[in-house]
Amino acid sequence: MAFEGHDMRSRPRECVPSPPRWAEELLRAVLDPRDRDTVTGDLLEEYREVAFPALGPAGVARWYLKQVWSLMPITTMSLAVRMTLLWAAAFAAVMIARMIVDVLAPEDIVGFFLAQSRDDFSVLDYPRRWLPVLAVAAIFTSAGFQVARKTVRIRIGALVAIAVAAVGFFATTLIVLISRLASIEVNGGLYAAFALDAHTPRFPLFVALLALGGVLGAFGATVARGLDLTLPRRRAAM
Amino acid sequence: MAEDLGAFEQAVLLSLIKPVTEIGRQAYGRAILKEVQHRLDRDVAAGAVYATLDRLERKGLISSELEAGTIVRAGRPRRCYAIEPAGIRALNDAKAAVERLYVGIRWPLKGTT
Repeated sequence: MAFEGHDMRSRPRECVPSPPRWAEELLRAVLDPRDRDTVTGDLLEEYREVAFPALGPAGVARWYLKQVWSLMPITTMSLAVRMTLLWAAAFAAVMIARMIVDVLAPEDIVGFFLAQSRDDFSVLDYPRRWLPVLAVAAIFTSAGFQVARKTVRIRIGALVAIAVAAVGFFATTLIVLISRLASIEVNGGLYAAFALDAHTPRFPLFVALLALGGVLGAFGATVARGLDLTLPRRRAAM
Repeated sequence: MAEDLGAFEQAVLLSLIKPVTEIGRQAYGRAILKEVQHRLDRDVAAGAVYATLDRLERKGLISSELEAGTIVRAGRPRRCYAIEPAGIRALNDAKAAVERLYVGIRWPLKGTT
């Protein structure tokens, strides 16, 4: 054994060959809880004893990712992809609905900003300002809830909700772009729906959306697991 | 009722009954993967072996228990597998079924170009 006799736990992670932490965490997230330590342990053993000495630092990361990919449960993967596409489509539909409403009945933006200075101003009087946000929040929560009900895993629910946020963001951006190329006057998509200034930097918005997806997806998934535990124990259908 | 075993399931069960490699005798996930690769003489995806082990265990054909991990695997435990009597019966049935299929056929087959 290449590393026999050395106490690796007493050495910093950087000193011993170790796989990318994010890849290992991703694998742990999709594995059944009973397999998390055993399977990642097997893989770590192969990584240190065989793959790293044979492939070197450059090749071994690629090797590890290939192993992680092969260990992704196919049923979980296909479910996660289907759920991501489904809920991202719902996300895009909310944005399109908002754009259509704005095209058919353009918002009086000046009136809105003037109204903000009044004492009796309430954003609740402007449903197009908060309804899309509420709908998107419901989508993230539902995605996490539904996936956790099917996989019995909270982390997969949160990951799918993050993926929904990412796909939804790009889909909405694409829709706005295509609409403008087709000379259709639409609003700023996410910017308008979330009542943001059009000059808000795109990347922070993207990151904030992913974080929102992660938090609400985890919340939905936790609720699903809580309900699941109060019902007779059932095995995931996968 | 006899379990219908696929060829890969049979390879996994056989590697538990009579491992031919040094590591294969340890009968944990990675060892079984190596043993199956050796037995089939081809590269095998780790995911395929773990999924098969999980399925065979759910069918009651094998059992598993945890063993303490080693330093090289950062102390993470090993899941060691053992074949159950039902697994041996299933293998016997699978072998018998294949032999029945070939009754009356002269081997090797001829007539192909």
